[in-house]
Amino acid sequence: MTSLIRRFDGFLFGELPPQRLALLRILIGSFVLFYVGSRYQMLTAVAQSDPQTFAPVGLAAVLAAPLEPLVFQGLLVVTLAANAAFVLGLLHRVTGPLFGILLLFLLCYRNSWSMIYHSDNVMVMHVLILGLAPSAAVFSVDAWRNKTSLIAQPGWQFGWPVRLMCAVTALTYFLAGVAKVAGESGWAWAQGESLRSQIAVDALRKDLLGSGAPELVYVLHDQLLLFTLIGAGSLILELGAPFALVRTRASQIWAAGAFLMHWGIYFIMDILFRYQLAGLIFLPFFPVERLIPFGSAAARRLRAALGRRVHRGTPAEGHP
Amino acid sequence: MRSRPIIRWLSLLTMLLVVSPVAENWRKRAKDSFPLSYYPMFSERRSPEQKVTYLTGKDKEGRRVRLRYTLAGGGGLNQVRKQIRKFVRDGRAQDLCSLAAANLARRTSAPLRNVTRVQVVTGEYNLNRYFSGDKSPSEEITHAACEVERPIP
Repeated sequence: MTSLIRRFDGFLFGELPPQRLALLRILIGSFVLFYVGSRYQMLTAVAQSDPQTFAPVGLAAVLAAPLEPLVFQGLLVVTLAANAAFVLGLLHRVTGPLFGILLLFLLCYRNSWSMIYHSDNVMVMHVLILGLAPSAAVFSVDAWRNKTSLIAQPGWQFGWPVRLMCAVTALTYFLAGVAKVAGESGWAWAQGESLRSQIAVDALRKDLLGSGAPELVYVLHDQLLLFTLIGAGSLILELGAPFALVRTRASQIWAAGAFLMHWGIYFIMDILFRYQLAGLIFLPFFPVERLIPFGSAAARRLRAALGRRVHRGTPAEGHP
Repeated sequence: MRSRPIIRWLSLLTMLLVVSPVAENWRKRAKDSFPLSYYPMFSERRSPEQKVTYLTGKDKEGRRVRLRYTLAGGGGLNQVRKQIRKFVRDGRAQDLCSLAAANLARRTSAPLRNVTRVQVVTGEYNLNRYFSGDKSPSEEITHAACEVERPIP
C-alpha cells in the first residue's frame, strides 16, 4: 500500500514550473470564453425550448422545471464575466472556483434538453481543476499586484493540477473504450463493422435532418478493411490511455494519436469536437511553457515595429 | 490547498468519480449524465435497418422538399433529433408540425418559400442500400401533416 501511494505521489507531485499551469489557465480559459461567448444566442435559444423536452442532468438535476429565460441569460452573463476574470487571473482564489462551478452548471443545463453531448466533459473538468489550483501564481493580475511572479519557483503545487488534468483526460478515453467492448458487440467492435454502421447511422441522420451527409461516407462505406484498421486503432488508443500516463514520452505519443483520431473523426463524420480538435484537451501533456520565449520574442518584435511606426508617424509641429 | 495528503486523496477521489460511471455499462437501464459519463456513443450495435424521424415538406406541385432540423428547434442536430422523437413518442407530433410550419412561414428564400405543407414522418432505411445510392425508404409513416400559413403580402 505504502509503495502504491509512493508511486502515485511520484506521478502526482512531480515538480513543474508555475508558467505551465498559468498558460493552461489562459489558453483554456480563452477558448471557453470564445466557445461560450460565440454560442450566446444558441444557448439562449436552447433555454427556450419546449419545457417538456427538459430532462435535467448533473447539477441541473436540482431544478424541477427550466429556468426563466431571463434568469438563464443572467447566469450566462455572470459566467462570461467570471470567465474573463479567470483568464486575467483576477482574484483567482474566488473567481477560479466560482467560474468552475458556474461553467459546470451552465453546461449541465445546456445538456438537459434531451441530448447529452460528450464533447464538453473534459473541458469543464479541466476548468474546475485550474480554478481550484494555484494557476494564477504568474501571468495574472493577482501576481502583478502582489509581485508573486518574482518568487514563483517550480514546485509540486504546480505539478499536481497538470497531472490530474492528464489523468482525467486519459480516464475519459479509457471509459469510451470500455463502453465499446462492454456493449453488445464486445471485442468484435474492433472488427470495423460496428464503427462503419455507427458512421453510416450518423450520416443517414444528418442527411434526413437536412444538414447533409459527409461525402466521404459514400466513398468509404464499402471499405470495411479501413474501418477495421480505424476501429482497432481507436480501441487501442482508448483502452491504452491510462497506461500511457506511466511515462511522459508515452503520454505525449498517446496525446498526439488521440489528437489525430479527432481530426479523422472530423474528416469522415464531420463531427466538430472543438476542444479536442484545437488540441487544448492535450495541452497538459506538453511543456507549453517552452513556447514563452517565442511569444516574448514575437512581442518584442511587435513592440519594436509599433515603436518605429509611432516614431515615424509623429506629426510635425504645426501639422494638423 | 498546501497539504499533500489532502491533495493526494482529493485527486484520487476525482479520478474515482470520473471512472465511477463505468458501472452503467452493466446496468439493465444505463443512465448517462454530465459531466460524469460512461461515454456510450459509438458503443450501441446498429442494425442495417434504421428508423429516423424527421420533417419533410411538399411544394405547390407536390414535390418533396427536405427540411432542416432547425425548423423544429435550436441546439444542434442531435439534440433536435431527440426532441423530434420525443414529440412523436409523447403523441405531440401535430404540435411539432405546427411549430415547424410556423417557423417555415417566416422563411423567404427558395425552395422553402414554395413549401405549402409540412409533415412529420418516420422513415426506415437500409444503410447499405442508402450509401450505395438508393435513398428510398423501405417504409415511411406520417405522424402529422399541416399547411404552412403565410401572411398575405
